[in-house]
Amino acid sequence: MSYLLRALVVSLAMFFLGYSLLSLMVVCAWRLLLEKREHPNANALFGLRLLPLAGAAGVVLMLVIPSFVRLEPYHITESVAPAGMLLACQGLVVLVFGGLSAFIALRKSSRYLAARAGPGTFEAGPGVMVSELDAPSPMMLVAGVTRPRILLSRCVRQLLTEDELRAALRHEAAHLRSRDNLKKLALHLCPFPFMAGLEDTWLWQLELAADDAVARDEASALDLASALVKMARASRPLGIPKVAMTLVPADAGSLRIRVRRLLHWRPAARRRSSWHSALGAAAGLIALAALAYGPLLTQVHELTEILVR
Amino acid sequence: MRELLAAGEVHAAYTTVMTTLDRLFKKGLLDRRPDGSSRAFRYRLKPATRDFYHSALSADVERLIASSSDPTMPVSFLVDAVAQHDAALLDELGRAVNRKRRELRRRGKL
Repeated sequence: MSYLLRALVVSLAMFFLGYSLLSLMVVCAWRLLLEKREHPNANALFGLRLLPLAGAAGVVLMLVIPSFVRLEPYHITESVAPAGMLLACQGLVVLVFGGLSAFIALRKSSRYLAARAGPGTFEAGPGVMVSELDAPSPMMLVAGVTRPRILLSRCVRQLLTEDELRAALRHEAAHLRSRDNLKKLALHLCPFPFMAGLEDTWLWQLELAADDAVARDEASALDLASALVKMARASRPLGIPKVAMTLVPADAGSLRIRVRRLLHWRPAARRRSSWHSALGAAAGLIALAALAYGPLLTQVHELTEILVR
Repeated sequence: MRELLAAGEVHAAYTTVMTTLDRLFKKGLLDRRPDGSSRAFRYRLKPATRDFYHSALSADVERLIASSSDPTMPVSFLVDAVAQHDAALLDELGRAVNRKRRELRRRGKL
């Protein structure tokens, strides 16, 4: 097997190993430690969900490929062991399946947006584009991934008061600014079973975070609650692509919890930011990896040799 | 729980409902989270429980549909039942919104 092909097979095999191990670790961490947490942070949950893909890709790019280039003789011809080939095939399946799934979701979302985003577009805030459309039933959602925008049917203006409409638009703008559709698309790239609970909780926390972005006081929380009830009464989200954020949730139970939470709104206690400690830990890890980089490459190469032999 | 009792949506003693919720929580069917700074809890159906209901009910619904010579009939009854439930829930939420609006007006916050 040629040098390049061997490098590809080894990279794919190591990717699959890293991806599977990290995914299992994430599932265990979620089930044992985090599932019962009272207020999981949406960004932390998203980071945890993407960790297997990012971690495995990082290991391959930072360790596997450099160790192969540095330590593997170029002119020898070696075959790869069946176990290594099997792992590489599984790695390829994960990448192809994830890529296809994301591509299909992106295409559906783009088509949905292209079919609806008409000339009636206005800017509702910095970087928040809203397209008005002549849909027969009231609808409001964030569609699109690369250039997301809020889709709003004109009849919503008759249904909601000005304050309610402003609150609803601010809810959708919060989704748009935090690029939630892009994050949803990213989940398609890293398929793994047993992640449904983590993903459901993440999506739920996104909605609560967008509600919290609107609710500055009892009056604004009430406006959003009222908008939610009116919109739910007038329409049900049907035929919405997966990569979109609708104002009204599909299930009545979620709507009930959100409305009741808004009606009993209280100023949130300011939470201590964990960014500084996370950055410190990341910087420490990077420094450690830089110090041990040479020996680490040798260890990784020895590991990849097991796959080749 | 206090919200539901205050709204007259639950016609049972507070302790009875709390005991039931606590048992369901201990059986792992419900999640509970502290409600802000108060000592109360908010209860919620666990996502895994939704999957359980989905798998348990889908078989029953399939049997129900198969039992009729005209499958559209039981489906239409189901749709009616869901629509009635949703409409009742939205009515209830609408009333709660109106009550809150009146309360905020009374307190001069609106």
